[in-house]
Amino acid sequence: MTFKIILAVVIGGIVGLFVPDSWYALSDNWLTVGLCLLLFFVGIDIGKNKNVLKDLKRSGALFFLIPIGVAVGSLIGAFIIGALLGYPLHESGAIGSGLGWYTLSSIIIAPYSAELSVLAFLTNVVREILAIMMIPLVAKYVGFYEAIAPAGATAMDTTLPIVSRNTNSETAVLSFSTGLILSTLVPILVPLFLR
Amino acid sequence: MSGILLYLGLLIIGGIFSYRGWIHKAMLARIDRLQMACLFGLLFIMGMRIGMDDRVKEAFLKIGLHAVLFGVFTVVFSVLTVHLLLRLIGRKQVTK
Repeated sequence: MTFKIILAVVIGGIVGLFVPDSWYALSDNWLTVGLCLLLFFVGIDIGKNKNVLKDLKRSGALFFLIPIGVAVGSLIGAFIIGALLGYPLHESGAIGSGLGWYTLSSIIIAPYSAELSVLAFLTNVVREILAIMMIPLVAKYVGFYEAIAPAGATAMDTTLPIVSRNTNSETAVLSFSTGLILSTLVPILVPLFLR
Repeated sequence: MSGILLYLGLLIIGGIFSYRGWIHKAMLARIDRLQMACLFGLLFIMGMRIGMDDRVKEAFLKIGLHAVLFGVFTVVFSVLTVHLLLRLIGRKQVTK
């Protein structure tokens, strides 16, 4: 599975080297349509399980606890590696606050510094690729709820089917709500660190 | 924000349709395949965008290593923090 996923990205990357530049803007629409279809299908998959509402009610504090843990953990990780690499605290915080949403975080950072913006973009692209590879492993060896953590803000869209496939319906629902909360936090946290 | 609302709306609509039994059985049986087809399509497009973006290609050589390190640290510490919080509230471990 992981190999196929990486292969899809690599083939896409190679194809991207040869297609006309005008396709870049078009691909925005393809991504939106693809994500809409994907989320509709994920919704159907979740709704198939008639116990989903009971599962969600049972999750209780996890609804807030998981996104808080993901956001705090991302910031701690960014502060530590940022300090080791010599980045100022606020720049590390801005990169960590991207929470996997590479397009938005890099756009918010762009007026502040082009280099930091690219770093934020790449960090969050790497995070998404790592999430795709790590979710099945974390789900198997650490825990279902922890498997949401690598995904960050993408837990509600691109990595949701991977969480859904490797965990259970309750975790898939929590994954979406976690992604939703984290996506709301990105445009708040990133500018906060750059003030 | 409108994107988030659209995605949330579609997820809820899909969930309600399926929960109420309004989705054809043939489609329900193929839902895994449909999800995977969409996922691989999206990953391909994501890869294509990376391949098309000169800024990303050039930057990857220059600050790629830093990005990998930031990516690894944010992911690892996210998992650790969630794991510690779950242990703190005494939540039982769920694995396969």
